[in-house]
Amino acid sequence: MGMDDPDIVGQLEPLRRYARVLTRNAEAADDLVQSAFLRAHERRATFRDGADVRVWLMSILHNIFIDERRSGLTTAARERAWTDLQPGFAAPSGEMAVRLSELRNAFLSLSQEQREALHLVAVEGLGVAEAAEILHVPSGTVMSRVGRARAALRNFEEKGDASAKARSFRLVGGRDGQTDR
Amino acid sequence: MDKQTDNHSDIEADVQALLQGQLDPERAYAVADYLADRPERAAEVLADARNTEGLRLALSAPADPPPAELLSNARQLQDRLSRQRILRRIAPVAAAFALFAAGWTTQIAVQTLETAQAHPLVETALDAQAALDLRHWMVSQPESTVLNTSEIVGALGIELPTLPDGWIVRDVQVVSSPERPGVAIALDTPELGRILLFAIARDKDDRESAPTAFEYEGRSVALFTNRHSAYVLVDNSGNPEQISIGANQLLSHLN
Repeated sequence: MGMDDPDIVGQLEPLRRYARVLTRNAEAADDLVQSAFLRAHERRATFRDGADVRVWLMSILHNIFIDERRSGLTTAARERAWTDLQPGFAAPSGEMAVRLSELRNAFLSLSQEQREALHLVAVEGLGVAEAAEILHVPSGTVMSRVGRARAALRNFEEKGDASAKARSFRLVGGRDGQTDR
Repeated sequence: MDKQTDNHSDIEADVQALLQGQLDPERAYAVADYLADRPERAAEVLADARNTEGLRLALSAPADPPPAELLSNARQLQDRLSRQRILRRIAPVAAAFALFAAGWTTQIAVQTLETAQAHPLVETALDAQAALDLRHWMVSQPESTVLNTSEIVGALGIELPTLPDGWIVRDVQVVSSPERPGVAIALDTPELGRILLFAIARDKDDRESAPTAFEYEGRSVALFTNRHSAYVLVDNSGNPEQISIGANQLLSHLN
């Protein structure tokens, strides 16, 4: 592979991560990544030299996810039952494990719009313009979604602190500190 | 964001950059000063930073390694994109050379159209291309690389040209169309890379149409006929001028 050649294998992990955040189900996520590779293969002519291959692939993956939602492949029932599914992230370890697990659950409970915007900008560290390109919304919309997602997580943390002070073992949202796997 | 941030949208826009150490000292001072005067906002910013880092930790690793199939798909796509990149660099030179080598006198004028004409044959060819692409990915669907032109003319009534030097048959499949079965051939060519030739028998009373090349749904397509057969050549990259050179090469082998 030449120096400027697109590194697709290196995108596998970010793509699987983003797919898991979208689907909240490990199996569905890997299927989604597979579909994204197939579509990318079909439409490889649309990839321009020098373009960001991660943005290109994530945009394709996002489009397929939206298409599948519209066609009802992701049912409302499955959406509601996501906590019974397995998002497929490694269980956090160390002293902060329980808190990180709760934070992740709070994040995965956000609306899809807020979740995907915050994921791309905060977790993947993409620019607002790049996230806007992937999500097909204006930059201002990405920023307001990120802002609302951040506020929702802060709110969750505050409530978590309050309930901890009340010596309650029941956490916000009624979930315990279970890990995904 | 609350009231106190309303009039400071430019400073707010740089808060994340401050955390990431991306500001010059003067701007970093201004943003830090703004936050120092607003302890509640500063606490929010730090809570956001904590949550971001927390999410990075909590979402960093998928629990399982990537399935072998995904890895192999990623590698295939990577190879294809690399080849496409090389091809795009050499294509203009190769196309010019092919034009020169073929000589202007043997060229059949291929009309390059500005807009795509949604010819039903083109749609059929694209369907065939999608099917061949799918087969290429499927382990259980082996490609057929034998091009038996006399069997094809006998069974389907399609005359196929002998292929120009260097054109390699990657897959030959009989495919259905609304009219009658046709044949789709995936080819690797020196100048155009991977292209698809779709051919089908014509109705006797169909009038002969001039060869055309045009862009259609992001692809380059050439459409031409010869006696009893009609042909569609599809290139997923490149431009109509390049695909028309390929069409001319095939036409010259038919006459």
